[in-house]
Amino acid sequence: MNGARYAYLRRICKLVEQGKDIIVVSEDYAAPMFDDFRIEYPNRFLSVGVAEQNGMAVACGLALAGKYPIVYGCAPFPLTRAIDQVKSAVAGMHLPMTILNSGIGFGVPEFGATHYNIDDISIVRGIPGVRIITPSDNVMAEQLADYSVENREPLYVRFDKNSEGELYKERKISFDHGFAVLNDPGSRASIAMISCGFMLQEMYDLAQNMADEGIYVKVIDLYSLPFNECELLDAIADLPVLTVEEHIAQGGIGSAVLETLNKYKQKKMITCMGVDFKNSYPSVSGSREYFIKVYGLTPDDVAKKVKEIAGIKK
Amino acid sequence: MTEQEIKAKVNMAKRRVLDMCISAKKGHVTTAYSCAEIIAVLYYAVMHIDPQNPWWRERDRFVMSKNHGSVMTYPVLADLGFFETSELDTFMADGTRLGGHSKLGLPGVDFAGGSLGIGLGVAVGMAYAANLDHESWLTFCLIGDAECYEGSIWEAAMLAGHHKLNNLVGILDRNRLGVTGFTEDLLRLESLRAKWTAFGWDVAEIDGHDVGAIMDVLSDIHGQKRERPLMIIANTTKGHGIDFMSDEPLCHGEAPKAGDIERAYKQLEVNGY
Repeated sequence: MNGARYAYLRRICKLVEQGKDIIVVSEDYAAPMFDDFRIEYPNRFLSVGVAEQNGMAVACGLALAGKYPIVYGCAPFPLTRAIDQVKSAVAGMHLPMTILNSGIGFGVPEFGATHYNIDDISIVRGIPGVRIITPSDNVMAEQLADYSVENREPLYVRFDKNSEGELYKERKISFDHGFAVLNDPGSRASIAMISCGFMLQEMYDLAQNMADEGIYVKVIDLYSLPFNECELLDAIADLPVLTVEEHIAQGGIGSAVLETLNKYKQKKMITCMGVDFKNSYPSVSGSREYFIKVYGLTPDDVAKKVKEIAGIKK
Repeated sequence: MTEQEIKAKVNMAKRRVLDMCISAKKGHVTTAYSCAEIIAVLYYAVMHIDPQNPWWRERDRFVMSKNHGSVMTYPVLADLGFFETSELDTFMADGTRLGGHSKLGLPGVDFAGGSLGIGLGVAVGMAYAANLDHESWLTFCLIGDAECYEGSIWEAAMLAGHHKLNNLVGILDRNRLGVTGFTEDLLRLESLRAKWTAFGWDVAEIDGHDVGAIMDVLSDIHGQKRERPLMIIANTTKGHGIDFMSDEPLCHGEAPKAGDIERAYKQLEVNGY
C-alpha cells in the first residue's frame, strides 16, 4: 500500500521487530493501515472499542509502565473525544506517546461536520508540550516513526490520506526544527508560501507551474509546531508571506506565523488562507474537492492570491 | 505492620491533613477522611514500594483517581521517607510540589490527576502492560463513588473485565456523597455491586473505616491467584471522625474555619483510634 501512512507503519513494524516496546491502541477504526499489524503482532495491538476517552487514558497507563503507545482512531475523535485526557493526562504528565489522527482536513466530508478535522491544530496548540506533526510525504512519515520512539515528548500526528511521494528524497528531517524550504528560487522569489500536509504538496506543484509563468514562489513546509522561530523569520525575510491550510483560519499555522512575527516585532505583509465557516458548519455534504472549492482553497484560488500579493496582474 | 500500628498511623496522618488544610485555609478534608484507613493500609501493609528507590520498576503502582483526596497520601508518603516531613508545611503554597492534586514530580506519586474519570483507565493501561510482560507488580486504583458518574470509568471497567486483568485492584470509596448531595438522591448509583460484577470484576464489600477488614481483604493480595480484576466497595463516611463535617455536602473542599478549628482537633482526638 502506498501513501505516507503506510510508509510510517512499515517503519513502525521494523521498529517492533528491532525490539521497540510499541503498542497500538486502536479505537475500532476499520483501517487497512493496521490490518496486517494486528495479525502479525497481536500482543502489540490493543483494541479498546469506540471508547476514545478510555483509549487515551489506557495509553497513558501503558506509557507510565514503559511502553510506547500509538493511539489510533477515526479523525477527529481520538483527539476531540478525549481532549480532557490529552490535557490532564498526556500533557499533564508529559508522556512519550503518539496520538495519531488519520483523515485530516476535509478528509471524509461526505459524512458531515462531525468528521471534519480542520480545527485540530488550534486545539492542540493550546496544550503545552504536545508537538504537532503533519507528515508531508512518505520520507517524512518514515523518519517520523524513528523520531517518535526516540523522543520523550507527546506527539500529535496528522496523517492525510492523500499524502504520498518523496518530496524529501534523501533529506534528513529535523522535527525539532519544524520546517523546510522545499522550493527556493533565491533572489527571484516574489513571495513565500507556507503550508503543510497534502495542501503543501499541492502548493509545491503550483509553485512549479507558476515558475513556468515567471512567478517565483518560495515554498516552505511548516510540518511541525513548535518550530525554530528565528530561522523561519530568516527564511521569509524580505518577502511577503501567504499561508495556506486546510484548517480553520483561527489558530492554525497561519496564526502561528502571525504570532511569531508579532513576538519578534516584525512588520510584514502576510495573508492567511484557511477555512472560514463564518457562523455555522455547512448544512450540506460534499466531497473534499467540493469544500476546498467552497472555501476558496483550490490551487487556482491560491494562484490568484499569489499574483495579487506579488503585484502581478496576469 | 500490625493493625494497631496502622491505626496509630491513621491518627497521625489525619491530624497532619488537618494541620495542612487549616494552614492553607483550603483542602479536601472530608474527601481525605473517607479514605484515610484505605490509604494507610495500602501504604503501610500492602503495597510493595521502596521509599529509597521511588521509581523502582517492579514497585506496585497506586493511582489516586479521586485525586482531590491526594492530601491524604502526603503525610503517609512523608512518614515513609519519600520526602522530608517538613515539606508538608508547603501544602498548596506557591511553588509547592504538594498541590491540591498530585503531580508526578513528587517521589511516590505514580499518577497526576485532578480531572475525574481518568485514573481507572490509566490503571488499566498499567496493569495490561504488567500482564503483557509477565511482571508481578500490582496496580491499585482508588476511585470515588460520585466519580462513577463519569462514563470513562465504565469504559475502563469494561476493558479490564474483558482482559481479565487479575493484577488490578480497584477500591471504590463509597461515601455516598457528591459535591451537592447524596448520590442516591442526585442520580442513583446502586447497585454498584451488580454493576461491577456485570462488567466482569470480582467484588468485595467492606467497611472502609475498619482497618482490620481492609487488611483482611488486601493483606495477601499478592499471593492470591485471581482470575479477574477486583473491585473493593469500601463503605465510608465523608469527613469521618469529625462529626460536624461528616456527611455534610457543603463541607466538600473545605477546611475548618477559625471558630471550628479547636473543635475539629478535639473531635479527631475523641473519635480517633
